[in-house]
Amino acid sequence: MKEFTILKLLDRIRFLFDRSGVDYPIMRKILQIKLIMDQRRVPTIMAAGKTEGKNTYRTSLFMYAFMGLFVALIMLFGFPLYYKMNIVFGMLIFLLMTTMISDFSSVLLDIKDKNILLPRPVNTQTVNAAKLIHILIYLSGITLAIAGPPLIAGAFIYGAAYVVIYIVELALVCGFVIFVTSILYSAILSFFDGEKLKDIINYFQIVLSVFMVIAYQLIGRIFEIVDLKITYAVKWWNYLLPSAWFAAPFELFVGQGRLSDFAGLSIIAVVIPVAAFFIYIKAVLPRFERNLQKLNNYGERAGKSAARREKRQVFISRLLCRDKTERSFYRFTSNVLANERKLKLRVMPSLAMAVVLPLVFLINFYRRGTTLAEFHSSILQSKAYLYIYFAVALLSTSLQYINNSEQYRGAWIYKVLPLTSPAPLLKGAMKAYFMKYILPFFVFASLIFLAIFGIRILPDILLMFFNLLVLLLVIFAVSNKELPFYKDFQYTQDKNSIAAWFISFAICGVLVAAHLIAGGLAYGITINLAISVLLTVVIWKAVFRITWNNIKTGAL
Amino acid sequence: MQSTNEPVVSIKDLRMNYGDKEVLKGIDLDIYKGQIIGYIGPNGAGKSTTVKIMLGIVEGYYGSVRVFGEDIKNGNIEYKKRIGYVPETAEVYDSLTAQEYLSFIGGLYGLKPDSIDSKAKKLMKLFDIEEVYQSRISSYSKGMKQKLLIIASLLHNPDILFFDEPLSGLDANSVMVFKEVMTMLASEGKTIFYSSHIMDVVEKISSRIILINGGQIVADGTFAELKEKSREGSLEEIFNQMTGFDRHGAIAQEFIATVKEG
Repeated sequence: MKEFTILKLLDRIRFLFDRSGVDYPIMRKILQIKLIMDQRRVPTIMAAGKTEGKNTYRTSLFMYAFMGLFVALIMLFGFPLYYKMNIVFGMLIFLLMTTMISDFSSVLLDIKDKNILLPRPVNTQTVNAAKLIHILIYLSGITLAIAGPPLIAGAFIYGAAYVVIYIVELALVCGFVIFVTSILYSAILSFFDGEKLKDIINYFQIVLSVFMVIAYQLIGRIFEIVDLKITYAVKWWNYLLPSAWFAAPFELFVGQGRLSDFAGLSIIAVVIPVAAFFIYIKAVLPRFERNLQKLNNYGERAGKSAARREKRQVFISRLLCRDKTERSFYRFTSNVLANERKLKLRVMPSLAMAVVLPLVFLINFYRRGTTLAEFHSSILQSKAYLYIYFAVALLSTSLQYINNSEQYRGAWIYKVLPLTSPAPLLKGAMKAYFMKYILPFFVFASLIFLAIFGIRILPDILLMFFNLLVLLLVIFAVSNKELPFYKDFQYTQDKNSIAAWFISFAICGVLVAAHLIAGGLAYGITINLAISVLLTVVIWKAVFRITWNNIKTGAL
Repeated sequence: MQSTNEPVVSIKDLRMNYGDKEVLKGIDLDIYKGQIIGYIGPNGAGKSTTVKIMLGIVEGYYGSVRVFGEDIKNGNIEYKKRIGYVPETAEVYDSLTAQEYLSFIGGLYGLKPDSIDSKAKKLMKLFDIEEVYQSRISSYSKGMKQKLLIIASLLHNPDILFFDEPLSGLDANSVMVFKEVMTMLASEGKTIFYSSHIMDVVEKISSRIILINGGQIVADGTFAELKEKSREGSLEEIFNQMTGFDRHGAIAQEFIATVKEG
C-alpha cells in the first residue's frame, strides 16, 4: 500500500500516542487508508478505476500560499507589530475555522466508520485519535501555506524571537480551532436528538460561518486609521478577539508593547487553547462517540408546514415554467435544496457574505468624528449603492454549488428518465436555485440599500437585477454543463469554481462600468436596462440549446 | 476454552430505546458453541440492533451481554478478535481496492501482510472474483461486494460469526457454496448467528431458529420444534402465523388495483 511522508513524520512522535492509550500501529493503518481514500474522492458515480482528485488539495494549498504572500506584504509596512499580527492571525483563524466547519465537520461527525471499525478490535481512543490526526494533517498543511510567507518575512525583520513565538502559536492556534469546534459540537450533541440534532448542527454551522465572515471583516477595524498614522490602545473588547490574544505576545516580546497592556492578552493566548485541550480530553472525548450515535436515530419532522410548502411550490412552478418536465424538475430541485444540509452549509456562508460585503464597504465610508447624519448625507451623494454589485457577483457564482450533493449516487435517475434533451432539466433546476437562494438574498441586500438611499435608486436596482440575470447566464454558459446534485462534495474548491470566480468578477466589472457611464447620461439607465433585458432574453435562448452530449457527467 | 455447556454468548434482559421508541423489550438468549442460529423477524423487529449491541457498535442498552463469559460493557475489546461480522448495509470503504481493504482489515486483527494477501487471494478465487482483487470496490456489483464482506469477516478465523443478511445479492451458485461453508464452520465448533429474510434457507441450515417480533423473542427452537408448536408446514407459514400476519392476499390485490389506476 502507498506510504505517506506525513505518516513517517508521525512515527517520530509515536511515544506520545503510546503513552495515551492509543494503539499506534492501528491508528497508523486507519490514517493510511483515510489518506488513500481522500486522494480518490471520486466526484461521479461509478467512475471506477480513475485516479484523480489528487491535486485539488495541492491546488488549494497554492491558493492559500498565495494569500499568505499578500499577508506577508503587510509585514513590510511600518504598522505596529500588534496590528500586523492581528491581521496575520485573524486571517489564519478565520480560514482554519471556516474550513474546519465546512469541510472537516464531516470527519468529526462521521458515523459510517463505526460499522466498519468498531466490530474489529479497535478501541475508541484509537478511532478518536485517528480522526483528530486526520483533520490535523490537513489543517497543518493549510496553516503552513498561509502562515509560511509571513513567518519568513517576519524572520528577516524581527529575528529569532519572532520565529519562536510564531511557531509555538501556530500549534496553539490549530489546537484552539479543533478543540473549540469539538467542544461546541459536543455541547449540541448532548442537548438534542435525532433529525432535530442534524438541523441544529446545520444552523449552528451556518451561523458560525456567517459570524466568522463578519468578524473577519471587523478585525481590520480594530484600529482607527487617521491620516495613515495608526493609533491604538488596548480596549476591553480586544480581549474578545482571538486574533488579539495571539498578536499580543509579539508586541510584548518583540515589539515595544508595555507589559501592562499585553500581559493579560498573552496569557489568554496560552491558557485558552490549553484549557480547551483539557476540556476536550476530560469532558468531550468520553461522551462524544456515544452521543454521535444519536445522529443515527430518526425523529419526527413537521408535516404540516411541508404540505403548505409543497402547495406553494406547485403554484410558483406553474407561474415560472411552461414545460411540464421543467416544472417537475423545478419542484424536485427546490425540495432537494430545502432538505440537503451539507449543501446549505456550503452555500449559506457565501450567500450571507453577499449581503454583508456591500454593507462592510459602505461602513468603510465612515470617518471618525462625523455624526451619523453627516455620514448619511455624505454617502447619499455618492454612488455607493453600486456596492450591491458585490452581491451580484457572489450570488451568481454560487450557482455552481447546485451540482454537489451528499446523495450524488441518486443521479442515475436522470439517465433512466425518458428525456430527449437536458434543457428542461437544467432550466427547472436553475430557476429553482434562483428563486430559493439568489432572489431572496438579492432582494434583502437591495432593501437595505433602498432604505438608506431612498426610492430614487429603484431604477438602478432594477438594472442590477437584470445584470444579475445576465451574469448568471454567462457564467452558466462558460462553465461546464453539469447536472444538478450529481457529484460528491470535495474538500476543497476545484479549478472550475476558481475560474468561475475570475470570470464573474471580470464581467461584473464591465457591467458596473456600463452602469456608471449610463448613470451620467440622460435616459442612460433606461437604455442600459433595455439592453440588459434584451441580453438576458437572447442569452437565455442561446444557452439552453444543448444536447446530452454537452453534459459533463463523468462515467454517469 | 470453555466447556461445551457454557454459552459463548449470553444475553440477559436486553432492552434498548431509540428516543421514545422501545426497540428491544427484554431479550434473554444463550448461544452455545457449534450452533447455527437463524435469527428471523419482520423489518424493524430489532434484529440488527441486537447484533450491533453484541458487537459493541451500539451502546446505551440496558441488561447484560456476555461474550466468551465476559461482560462487553467492561471496555475490554479483546473478544472482538474472535468475532467476524458481515453488516446488513454493505458499508465498506469503497474507494479502496479489495486488496487494500482486506489488508487493512486483516491488519486491524494483527495479521501479517503476506499471510493476509495470500489468504485473501485464495478466498477471492474460491468465490470466483479474483479478477477484481485490484479494482476499486465502488465498481463492484452488489453480489461481489457481499462476497468481499464475507471474506473480510473470515480472514482472522473467528470463533463466532455474525452474519446480517449474508446472502443478499449472491447468485444461486454462491449461495450454495456459502451454505456449505456455514455448515462446515459449525461442524468445526464455530458459532454462527445470522439473520435472513429467505425462509427456506433458514429452514434448511439452522440448528436453531429464533423468531423476534416487536423487540421480543416469540419463538425459539429447532425447525421441528417450531413446526410442532404452530402446526404449520413451512417456516414461512410459521413466520406469518407467529407475527400475526394473514392479509398478504388482500394487500396484493389492493396493490395491483393501485398500480392500474390512471
